[in-house]
Amino acid sequence: MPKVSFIDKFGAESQVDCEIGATLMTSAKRAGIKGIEAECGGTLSCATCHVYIENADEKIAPASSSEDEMLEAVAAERKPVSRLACQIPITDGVDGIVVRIPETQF
Amino acid sequence: MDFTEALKLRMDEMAAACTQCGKCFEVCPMVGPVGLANEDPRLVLAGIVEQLQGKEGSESSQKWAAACTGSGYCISACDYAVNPRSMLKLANYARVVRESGDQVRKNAIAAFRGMAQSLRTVSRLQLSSAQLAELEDAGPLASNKPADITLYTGCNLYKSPHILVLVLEVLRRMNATCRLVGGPSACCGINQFRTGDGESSGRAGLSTLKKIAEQDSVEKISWCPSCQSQFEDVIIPNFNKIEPQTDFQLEMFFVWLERRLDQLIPLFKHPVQKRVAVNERPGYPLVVAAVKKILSSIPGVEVVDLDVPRVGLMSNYLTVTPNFKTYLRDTEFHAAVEANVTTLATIFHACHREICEFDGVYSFEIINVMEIIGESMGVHADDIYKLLKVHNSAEELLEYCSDLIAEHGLNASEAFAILIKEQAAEKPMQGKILEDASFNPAVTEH
Repeated sequence: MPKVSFIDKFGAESQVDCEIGATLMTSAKRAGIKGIEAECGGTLSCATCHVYIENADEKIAPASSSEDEMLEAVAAERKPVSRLACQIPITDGVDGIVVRIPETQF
Repeated sequence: MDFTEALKLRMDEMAAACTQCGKCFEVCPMVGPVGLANEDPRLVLAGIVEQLQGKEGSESSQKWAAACTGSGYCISACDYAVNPRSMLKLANYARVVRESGDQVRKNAIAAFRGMAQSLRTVSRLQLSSAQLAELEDAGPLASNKPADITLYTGCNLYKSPHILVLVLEVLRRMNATCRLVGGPSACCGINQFRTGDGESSGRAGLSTLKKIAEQDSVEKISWCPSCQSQFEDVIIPNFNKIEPQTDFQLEMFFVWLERRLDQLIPLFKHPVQKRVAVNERPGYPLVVAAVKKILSSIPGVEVVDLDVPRVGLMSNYLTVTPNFKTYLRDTEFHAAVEANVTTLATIFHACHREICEFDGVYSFEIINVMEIIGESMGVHADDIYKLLKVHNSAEELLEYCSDLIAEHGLNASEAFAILIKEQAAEKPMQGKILEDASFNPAVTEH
């Protein structure tokens, strides 16, 4: 199982084993990671699963135009490394990525 | 075919099917309150058809479509089976798309997020994490068999959770296994649709439809008339165009319950000595009829009909005409006093949230229908929303909810502000206020 590190807004880090085929959002929710709200359940309606992925490199496909449009509406600062966790499928490639959770989702 | 293409096709079909006879306009209770009483019905309908065709329509047609409160009197008035309520919803959508341009996505996100934030705050001020988890999932099944029922709650029922607690307990006592689908992550797409974002609305609604279908229950029932209407008017017809071989239907909870009255009646073990008027909403007349039949079957309950005008799918739809809404509410309250009822029973959650604060102000109590059904079965759930509503100051609220505020890590002042905004029903369901200042509801024919 790929391992992903989540760092919350206070700097606390959690390692999560993620199932292939899930998304980064559902993996975080299942693991009880706080701060990824995902109110819409992954239907690209809310932009409340905003995260910063600083070492994505080639591991994750770039954001689609729909995701890019939703990222315009995130509550915390949008950065070049901003992504929506619901749009990132878990593959072997995501092993080792570090996901920072923003200050707020609303 | 994608969702927005299916929508366009349906708008074209409706535009072609409507004969513009104007009968739907003539029976609409919103015509007077928004100042359209002197308009030519045929011309207004001509404007509606233009809107469906992607054109501007007329000022009158735009206003009429925007003012629809979902009463549904137009449906039986139409001789051509067009379903004018659906037609107006689509015409209003077409106008919003035209007017909002590239802002539709941002507006849709803001509308959805506002709903989700209000819901999460109001429900967390009433329920612990464990209680919320129980209501979001009815629990594991005893076997791997599909549950007898999948109950689609919609979103905002969780703001008055005592109703849902009672629904689940009644189902349990009927030995009906149940799976729940609901909350913002199972949205019907209404917020996105109203803001003109058909693509997001379709994504949300179809995702929810599939979640309900995946439960594989024989019976698929829904609580919320707003979600039911969104499914019937938009999501299911579009789904049928995208996947023509499928058959998906939702039945409203009380209609389902009334069909099982034989099973229910033996559970009514405790007489309930109440003289009850029902807070009727005309949007789904079968629901009103079912509620009255169920209540009439409870030993001790006497159902009283009030001869008052009935408007709107739920009370919150009337926020487009606040004076008319107040008039309707006061008329119903005074009729209830005159009829000497002990109880005014709300059916739907949004109506309950809006009028429950008047409990005890008049000579009758205001409770939900499920509380009466529950009482006859010996089941009770506290109406915490009502308790929150009568707390008038931040200090009172903080004291009452302090444990839950701490458990959920809520910001107390932010939570209070959200609750007050929600309770004041500041957000009109259909958009801005459209009321005609010169309209006198006391002389309306409806």
